[in-house]
Amino acid sequence: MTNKTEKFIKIASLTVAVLSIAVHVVLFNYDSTYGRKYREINSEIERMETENLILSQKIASSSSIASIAQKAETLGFNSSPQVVSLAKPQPIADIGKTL
Amino acid sequence: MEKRLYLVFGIFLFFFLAICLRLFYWQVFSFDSLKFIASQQTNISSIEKAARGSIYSSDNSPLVINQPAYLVFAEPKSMRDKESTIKQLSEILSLDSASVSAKLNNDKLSWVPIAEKVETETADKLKKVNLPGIGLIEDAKRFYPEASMAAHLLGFVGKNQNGDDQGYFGLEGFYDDQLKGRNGYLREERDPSGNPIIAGDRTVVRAENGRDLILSLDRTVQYIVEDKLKKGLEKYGAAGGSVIVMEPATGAILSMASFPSYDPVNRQEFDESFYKNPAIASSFEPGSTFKVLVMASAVNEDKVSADMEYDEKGPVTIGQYQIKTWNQEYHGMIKVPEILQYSSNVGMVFIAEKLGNDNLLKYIKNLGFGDLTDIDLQDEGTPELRPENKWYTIDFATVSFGQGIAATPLQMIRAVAAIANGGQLVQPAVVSKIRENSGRVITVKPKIQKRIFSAGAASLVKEMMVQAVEKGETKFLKPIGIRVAGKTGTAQIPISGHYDTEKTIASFVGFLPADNPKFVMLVTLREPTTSPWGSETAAPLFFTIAQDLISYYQIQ
Repeated sequence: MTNKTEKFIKIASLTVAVLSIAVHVVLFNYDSTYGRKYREINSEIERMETENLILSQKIASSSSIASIAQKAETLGFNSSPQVVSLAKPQPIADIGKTL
Repeated sequence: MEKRLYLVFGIFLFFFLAICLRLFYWQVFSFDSLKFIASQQTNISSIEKAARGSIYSSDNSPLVINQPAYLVFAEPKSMRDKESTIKQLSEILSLDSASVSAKLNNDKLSWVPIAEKVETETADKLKKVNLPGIGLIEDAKRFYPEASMAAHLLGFVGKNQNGDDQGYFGLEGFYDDQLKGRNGYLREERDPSGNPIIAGDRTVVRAENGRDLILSLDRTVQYIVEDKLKKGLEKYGAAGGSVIVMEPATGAILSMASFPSYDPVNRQEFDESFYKNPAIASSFEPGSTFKVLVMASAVNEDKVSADMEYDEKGPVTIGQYQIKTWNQEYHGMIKVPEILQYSSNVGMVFIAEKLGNDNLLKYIKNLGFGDLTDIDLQDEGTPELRPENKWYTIDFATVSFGQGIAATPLQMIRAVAAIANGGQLVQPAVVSKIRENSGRVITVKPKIQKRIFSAGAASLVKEMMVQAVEKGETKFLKPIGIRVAGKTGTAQIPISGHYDTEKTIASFVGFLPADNPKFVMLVTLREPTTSPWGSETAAPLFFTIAQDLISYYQIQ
């Protein structure tokens, strides 16, 4: 092998080695910040899930049947009126009490 | 000069070799232990808690859902001003300061839980004050949008012996395995700041959230029933009561209410005896409502027919006992349907004699008395049937009018449903669908257990029950234009081997519209004080509820 070829191989090997180290360092550095972003995204997801739960709770409360019944009463709606038949005699027990 | 150079070289060589040996020791011999220590420092494990499944009514309205909650913990060694921390914690968490102080002043503990299931509002106050040494861990707790509605049916979530959430009573207890899901697991490498190293080792097992339950329970019907039952207890001065509304063809429970009840959120304020569902766990002697079942059995066996007559001339003597009618009235020659109409005890003794003791016992067992119905609720109970060799003549006589036998309200309504649906014994069920995490819905099919009566026998007894309503004590209560099949019941309460002379359990069981029943309903009132009779307490309450259900279901 000529001197030039040897020199070229040495320089090339050194360059590749340095570049590999550099790429390795850059990639891991880049990668290391993703961990922080991942954690932030996860925290944001958890915060939204908690918010969703709270909102579901509020929706469920305001659409509960007791709330609806109360609102209906406030708006003037009545429950179905009692049916009283005036043509028929009173129940026997009531007659017994009045006599 | 050369000697000194060699000496320096030797010293450098020595230290160089020493370092190499030491590196060899750390990197080869101690590799495993050091890797383990490093892994302990950088690999963090955590559990991803599964969300508990929710419970919905038939129209998909939530009855039980989860709300965010927190575990408040303290690290006493990290606290600065203990006294001030104790005071603020006690105020914010509404805890006794002595108990908080006892926990925080325990030098043996480096981590101590202070309060569990703390709601978001309170947790936000804690976050605001930012007390050193006090932290919060996310958790969840149950939320009941309908407050204490259907408390007995739903049950509640408490802690088991391991400190994990566990369902007790009702649906929470029965379906605990399906509701709780499966926790997940995360193990990952983290840097010193606590950020995960994406390219590092990572093991993830995702949590599987619990399944949701969709019930056959109609929350509107439940609201109506609870409202009327509460008012009925007050009106009739009763100590307690239950109402069950069921679809007779499928066994689907549309409503189940009992009072006194409890608030599942503040259940600690109620005695544990309130947690049990009286509709499935308490027993009563059904009294005259049982007559329809004995009649149906006799008709099914062709032992009696509608045009057969009975001479109701007076009390009937059996051994040393005398059986009388409830009102001491005797109507002479009456037809079999009139036995139910007049609710004649002596007439029922005649029916039971026609049926025969062996047949009577066979039908009682076939109708499910003495056995669990297997409804999907935890803590169902059943009173035991007397052993066969302990049945005497008087027992067969009294059981014909529903005394001397105990049943739960659920057993009673299921048996009567067999008349309403044309003769089949159904398995009662509360859950109609189960929804998985993936969205897939599993439908729970109704279970028809066995045929008890022929369609013809059921139809005939149904007509007798319609006649009992239209011509009996409840004739003034029934809604106009709708055929209602029903029967009143008034049973004395057994106490220490004899019957109480004043206290009764008043009941009414019925279904409508009689020809194609939308629902069967049983109302029981324990110890009504305004009147002991079912016709004057349980029956009016039945028809009050029925009136609203007729409007709701648009029954014509």
